[in-house]
Amino acid sequence: MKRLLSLLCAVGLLIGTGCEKVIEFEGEVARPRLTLAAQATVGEPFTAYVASSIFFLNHSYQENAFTSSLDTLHGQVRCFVNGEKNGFVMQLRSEEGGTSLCYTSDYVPAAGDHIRLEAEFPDFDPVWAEVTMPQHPRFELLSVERQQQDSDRNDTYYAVDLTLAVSDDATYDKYYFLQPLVSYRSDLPWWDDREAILAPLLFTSSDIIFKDVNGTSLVLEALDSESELAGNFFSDALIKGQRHVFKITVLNVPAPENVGLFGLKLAAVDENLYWYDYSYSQLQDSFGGLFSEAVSLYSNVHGGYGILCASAPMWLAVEW
Amino acid sequence: MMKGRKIWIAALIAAILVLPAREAAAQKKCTISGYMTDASSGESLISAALLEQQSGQGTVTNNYGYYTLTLPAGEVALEFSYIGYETVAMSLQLVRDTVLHVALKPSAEFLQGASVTASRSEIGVRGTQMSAIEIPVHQIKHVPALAGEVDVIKAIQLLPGVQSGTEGSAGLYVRGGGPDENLLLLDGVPIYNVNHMMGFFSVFNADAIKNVTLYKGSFPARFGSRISSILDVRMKDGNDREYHGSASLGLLSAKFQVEGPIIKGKTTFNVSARRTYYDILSQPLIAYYQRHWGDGERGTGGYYFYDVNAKLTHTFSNRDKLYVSYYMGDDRVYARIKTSDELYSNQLKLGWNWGNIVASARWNHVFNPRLFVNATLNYTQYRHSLDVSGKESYAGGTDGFAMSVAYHSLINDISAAADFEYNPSPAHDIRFGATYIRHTFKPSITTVRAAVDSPADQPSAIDTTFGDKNLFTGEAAAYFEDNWSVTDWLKINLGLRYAMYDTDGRFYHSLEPRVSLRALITGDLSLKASWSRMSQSVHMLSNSNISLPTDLWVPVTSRIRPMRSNQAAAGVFYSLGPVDFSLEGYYKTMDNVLEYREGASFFGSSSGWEDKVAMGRGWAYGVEFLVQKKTGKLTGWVGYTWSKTMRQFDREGHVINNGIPFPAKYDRRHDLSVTAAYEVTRKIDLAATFIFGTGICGSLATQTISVIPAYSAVSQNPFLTTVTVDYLEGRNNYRMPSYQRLDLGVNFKRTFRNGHHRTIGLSVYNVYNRNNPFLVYRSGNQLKQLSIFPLMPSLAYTYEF
Repeated sequence: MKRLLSLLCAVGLLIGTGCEKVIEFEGEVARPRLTLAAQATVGEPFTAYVASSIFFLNHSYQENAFTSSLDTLHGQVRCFVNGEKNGFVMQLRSEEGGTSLCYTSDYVPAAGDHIRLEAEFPDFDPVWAEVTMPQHPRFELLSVERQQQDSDRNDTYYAVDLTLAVSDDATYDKYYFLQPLVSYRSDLPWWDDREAILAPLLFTSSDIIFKDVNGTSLVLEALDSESELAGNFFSDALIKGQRHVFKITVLNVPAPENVGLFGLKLAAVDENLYWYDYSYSQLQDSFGGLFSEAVSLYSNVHGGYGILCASAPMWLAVEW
Repeated sequence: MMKGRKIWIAALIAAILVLPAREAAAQKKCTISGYMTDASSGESLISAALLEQQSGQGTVTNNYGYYTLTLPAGEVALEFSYIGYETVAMSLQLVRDTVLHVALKPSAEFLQGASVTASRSEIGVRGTQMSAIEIPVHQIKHVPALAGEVDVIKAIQLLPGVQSGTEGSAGLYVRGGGPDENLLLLDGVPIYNVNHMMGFFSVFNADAIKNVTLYKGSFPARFGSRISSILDVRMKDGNDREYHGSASLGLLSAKFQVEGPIIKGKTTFNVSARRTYYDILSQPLIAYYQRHWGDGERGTGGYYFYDVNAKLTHTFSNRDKLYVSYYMGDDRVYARIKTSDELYSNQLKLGWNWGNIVASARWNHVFNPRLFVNATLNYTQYRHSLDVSGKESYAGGTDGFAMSVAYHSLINDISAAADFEYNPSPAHDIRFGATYIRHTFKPSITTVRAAVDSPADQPSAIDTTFGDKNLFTGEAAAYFEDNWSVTDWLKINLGLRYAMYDTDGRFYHSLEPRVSLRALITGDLSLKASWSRMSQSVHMLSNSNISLPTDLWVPVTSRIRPMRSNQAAAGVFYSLGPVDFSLEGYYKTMDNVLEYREGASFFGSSSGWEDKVAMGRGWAYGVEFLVQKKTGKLTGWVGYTWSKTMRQFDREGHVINNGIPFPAKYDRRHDLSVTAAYEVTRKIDLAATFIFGTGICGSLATQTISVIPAYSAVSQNPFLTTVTVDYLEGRNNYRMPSYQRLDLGVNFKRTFRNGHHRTIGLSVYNVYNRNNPFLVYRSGNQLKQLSIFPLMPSLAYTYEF
């Protein structure tokens, strides 16, 4: 009997020896590469961020390795505009820590500029990326109508119909970005409605309904991420060089007395920005999901990782 | 170019048709035909061999035990043989067409007839068929099994060229193909989901099965509809002389099988069923838990599966037979939980069901000794439903809330087929036929109902149904093949299949030539080569590591085109007594294969499935080595595969991994399996299985990078400059640790005086308790591996009468 019990205990121990265990990573350890990240905006000073990638599956993983391994004395970030030969060296703003080094310049991108960004640091492969700046979008707000929605217990909400026209310039393949934003009015004496941080989280993609008015479909791509905002992209492929009228219904807009600012952020963005945002929102959605395919963040940086993209935004205030 | 090809095809067909006539004019021919059966049960024997010893001409029985052989008139010496049966030899004077039904006696020694059958079989050294393997069911029953549950698919996974999925799963990955690229036929009827218990067991109950053949390439023209493999599983007809049966009790399930004559010699039946009882055994534990730690919670829950196989065979005459077969199986997960106290009550109900129904009626008719037809009507259904409902209520009836969500998907096939076998001369074995399948898909229908009952507001309710519309597609095919003995040493199987898919207002056509040839070097050594093209009109969408019932079958549409494959293979085949050796190499290309786009998921987005997938191409190549011994005291096989499987998605609008080629999820470089069974005495036999495989691939981010946030996020927080995210360098960039396992089993058998038998089977799965990877995931800056099957002993008791 004792033997049997001993045998059972041994078998039990064997079976119980951890269904889950920590394993060593077997495979090629990715060596650190430079990450270059910049979003060039028409009319705003150009800024770029540089960091090192970190292989995190080892025991010496340290958060500060993003920047601590970069030799800023001998490293350089250089920008070339419209094919100029030598370009200019961007200045390191500070080494205050964080996850990237910030390089600034006095250069303000203009529509149509072609930017090439290069970074070289000792012990890293050099990296580069290129982008062309889009024109500011030409949107007109043709009409605004509002209807009161069903109320919940405390607040009244409106459905706001906006009729817009976009005039596309045929010179450049791009996407348009469209996002309704609202800020709440506050009675606090220090609160400035016009400067209040807008709260686009109020709107999800199901709150925004697009209707076509004169034929051609815009083929809208709603980035409906759980963790991100409701922004909608559409390609100019079907409306290239045309004036196109369309209608947007924004649901769940708070009553005017509660709203400080309501309007649309509209931007012309390059393909890189669109694909980067697209993959970023997928990455947020799939994080940790057993049933989702893993996502690789879009990159147009050669020799390393990251993104160089461009936008030309405008703001359309809605008076109602 | 097209004209030249047409002339060539016409000339070939003319040659095939004219040659028999010329031969007939030269010398009188007579045809011997009939059925070969088991003398003790009357069960028809599949692939049993007939050899005319003087001329060396021979044939094998078809799936219904029918054979036909045309020989020159005169004295002939015939030898009928089948593995595990005593060989029957006879001489007769052949003067006219002769019908000869032969009943073979099971052999006590299990050796006789073995070599004749093995070499004569179309899969053996002398046949044109390559890239195919037959496994005797008795051998499958000897493979030590997980929890003692003998499983056909698990045995198939041990063959070279076949990769298994994750630990324990029933998925088949044949020569670089996906799990949806296998045509799994149960008595000739496609079955869509072969998984029970998330794929740990298959729907094929070994007690109901007579014969299993796997085709990995060199596909005869009679097969189509899938691009990677055909698994042809045939059910037992039933004993036509006396009643027999068996009952078995294992750790997880109980099963029984009964067969016998309804009208002796005319009508037989065979019924088998099984059910798991883990849910029943766990009820006392659930009740105990709730009594002691339930905190007001009451309820029940569990999981079980069951399946039923039934077959009825009626012999009208020597010329006409009718077979009706039926399969039904379901997996059910259920839970009912109620929590209540004086002020509040909450009820939750969950029902998650999936299963298949397969039914077929087949009629065999012998028009004349040279022409045999099998006409079939089939129905197959796979359904999946998930129903969740909840109800909350408060004392006084205020603020009550009720909600229900139901998700349903379904695929239904109705098909009709006619398959002819025509044996005009000793040199030609012709098959032709046609089939039509009507598919009905309900890819995903979700119904949501919710109701709020609050005195503060008006009661509100939601009642909505959304999802993809029903899709109807038609699939028609016609084929012709000739197994042509050109000379004594050269034999060619030429075939052509034409398939047409009618879907979503669009027609797709597929012309699929097939050719296999065998060059006999000596009586025991041959070289074979083949090339075949296949197409497929259905896809399965799956993005999990295990076989889930949520895997969605969808048809081709105007946007999603049929999958196609081209496969070339060549090999050497050698037979040394009862041992067969084969070495094969293959190269296969696949087009229009589907993968989920990055970030796409079965859950979440309500957009249609077509938007979630990308179409691309794949290629695979490898070398397979097999040594198989089917008879004797020691039986089993050693299989080794070296292979590489890649995918690429670089078409506009279908880009994955930036268009760069990446390894398929189940790309294993090395795969070795050794399976052996040894009969120590008449009362004891031993079995062992060893498996080693390179780890499968997965997508794993290994780096963190600092980048700018999403454009839309900037508006929310203008001070947000950079964020850190995990960076995935490419799809399937990580290879899991290798897989290895040793299983052992022993059977203690006893025969009682009344002729009944009992077997006590003891098996141990994963003897040295290797932690094999089921899932690898990141936890902080560590990698963690989840293993699900440690050392698992099991016991099964079987009584046969």
